[in-house]
Amino acid sequence: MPMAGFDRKQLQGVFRKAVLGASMRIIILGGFLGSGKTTFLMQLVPFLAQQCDAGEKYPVVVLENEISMTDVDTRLLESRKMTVQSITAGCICCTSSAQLEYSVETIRREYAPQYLVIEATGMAFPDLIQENLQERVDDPIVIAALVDAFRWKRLKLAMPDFIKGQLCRASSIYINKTDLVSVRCVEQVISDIQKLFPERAVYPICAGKPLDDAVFRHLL
Amino acid sequence: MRNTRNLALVDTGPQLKQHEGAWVCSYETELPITMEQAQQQLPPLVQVLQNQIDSAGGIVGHIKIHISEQGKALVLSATGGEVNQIDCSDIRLAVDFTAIAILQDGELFRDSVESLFIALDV
Repeated sequence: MPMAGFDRKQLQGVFRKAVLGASMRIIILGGFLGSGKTTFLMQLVPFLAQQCDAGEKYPVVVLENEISMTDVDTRLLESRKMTVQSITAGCICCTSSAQLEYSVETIRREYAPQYLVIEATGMAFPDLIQENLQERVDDPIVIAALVDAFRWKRLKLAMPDFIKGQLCRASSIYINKTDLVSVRCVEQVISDIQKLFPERAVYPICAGKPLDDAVFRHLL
Repeated sequence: MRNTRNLALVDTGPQLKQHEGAWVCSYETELPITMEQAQQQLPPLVQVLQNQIDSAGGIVGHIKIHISEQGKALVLSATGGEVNQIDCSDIRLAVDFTAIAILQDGELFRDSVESLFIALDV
C-alpha cells in the first residue's frame, strides 16, 4: 500500500533519486541564429517528458539563453506550458558563463528534472558551455546542433570558422529546413558536414513539421 | 535568472550592444494600436528592415517580435526571408484577492480561501 500523500509513480521517483542522486541529463542545443533551435525544442521537450516517470512534476526544464534583453523565446515556450528559466542580455558561453552554474544548480534544487535542455544563443559555442559546466557538475552532457540548410552555403562562406566551431563537439547534427531546399542541396550540406566531421550522426529534418521519435532517441 | 519585467514600462528607445561581431538591438515598448493592426503592419516593415540589412552587406541573424494584447500573443520571426507568425496566446487571469474576517481560526480561513480557488474549473 502506498505511503500517505504519494502514489506509486511518485514513490518510484523518490527512490530513483535516492539511488541516482539528483542527477539530470543535460542537453545543450546549439546552432547559428535562425537555425530553428526553438522550433526543434518545441518537439524535443514533449518527447523527453514522455520518457520520464509519470509522477514527475517537472520532468523537463528548459534553460533559455537570450543574447538580447528581451526574452521572446521564453514567452513562446511558456505559452506551450513548458517550465522555462532564462538568462537574458548575455551569452552563457562567455559573458554570462558565471550565471550558468548558478542557474543549473537552482533548477536542480527547485525542480529536480530528469532532463535539462539548455538552448544556447545563436552566437554561442556549445562546446564552451559544455566545458564550463563539466568542470562544475557531474551530470552527463550532450550537444545537439542545428544547421539551416537554406542558409548553409551563405553562412559557410561568410563565417566558416564560426560555423565549424559551433558544430565541433555536437554528438548529433540536425540539418533543418530541408523543406525549403532541393534534395541535391540537402545532400551537399550533408557532404560538407561529413567532410568537416566524419562519422558524426547527421539528420536531415524539417522541425516545423512533426518529427519522428527516432530523431530524438539517441539524445536519451 | 529570469529578469523581472517592468510593470510600469519606461521606453528608453532601442538598446544596442555588440557580441562576437554581431549587433544586437533590443526594444521593449507599448504602442497605441491593436493586435490586428500590428499583425498587418509589422510583417512588411520587418521585410524592409531585412532588406536594409541585406543592402548594407549584412546577414540577418534573426528578428523576433513578441506582441501581446490581453492574453492574446503572437511571435513574428524572420531569418532573412518570409516573416513567420506563431500564436502563443497564454490566457491567464490576473487575480487580486482580499478577504477580511474576524474569527478565531486563521488557518481555517486561509484553507477556505485556498479551497475557493481550487474549486474553480480551470
